[in-house]
Amino acid sequence: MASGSPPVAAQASDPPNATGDCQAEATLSNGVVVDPYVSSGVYEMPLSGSADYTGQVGDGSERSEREFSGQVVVKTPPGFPDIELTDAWTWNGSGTGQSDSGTVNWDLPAPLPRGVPFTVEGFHQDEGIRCEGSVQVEVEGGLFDSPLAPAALAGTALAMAGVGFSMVSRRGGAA
Amino acid sequence: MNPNDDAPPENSPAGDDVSTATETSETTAGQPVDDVAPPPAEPAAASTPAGKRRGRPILGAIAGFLLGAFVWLDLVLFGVIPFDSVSVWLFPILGLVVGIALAVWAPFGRRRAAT
Repeated sequence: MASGSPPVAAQASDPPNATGDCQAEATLSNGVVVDPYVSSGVYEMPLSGSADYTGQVGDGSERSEREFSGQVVVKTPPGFPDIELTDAWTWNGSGTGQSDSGTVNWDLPAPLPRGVPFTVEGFHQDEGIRCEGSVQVEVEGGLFDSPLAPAALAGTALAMAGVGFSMVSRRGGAA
Repeated sequence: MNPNDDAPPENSPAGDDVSTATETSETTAGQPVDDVAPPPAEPAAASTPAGKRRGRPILGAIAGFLLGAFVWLDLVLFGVIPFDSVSVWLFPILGLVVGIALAVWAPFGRRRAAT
């Protein structure tokens, strides 16, 4: 099932987390090769960049005209909507082809924490075949490359001050 | 937010500023109202041991909620907990409960009992 070169990211050593009779591989603009059928990560990726991808359903032979769809999203904590990438990361239509290749771009939100693993999940639904998988990725950079970091630390300090102030008795009296 | 906007706790006597006998000697439309019965005394159970309110529970709830959210964010940023875990809800809720509890307890600023 697996194809292509193994991931070059040093940490991408976890077992694969992908199901279905498909092949998928992407070479990121930083040189990292992502293949969910080889390893689930953790892959390093830039905050914004591009990837050359190839994908194949089944053995790659031509099939009859049918409908298909698929999507790749960045998972967020439960209760929050997943981060959808550009339109190129969502596809649907009809055709007879069994493989595709091309280049896609992404531009993730700047506040995303750096160096923290998160999940990129995708699926492809085809006639009689459903492939899905996920990989762990982390955005290149350090803690303070995210504008969220200083805001979070300052917010923590302010909230602690608020809790402390709320613990001061409003009126005196025997304790 | 003005911390003084906090509503009094439910078990607080109406009370810290409870009406006193001096109010019964006030007048209405210039007429003395000394014959008006004084309000019933607050039940003892409605008071803290010192008979006084403590802390700022609403401020404690809000600050505790925010503290929980920011602590979760800090832990995510430092890679202690995963980004996409359900703990994003647990920390603020826990912070809210703890914030209220600490504000009701209000251990700071109490005066010692007069001897």
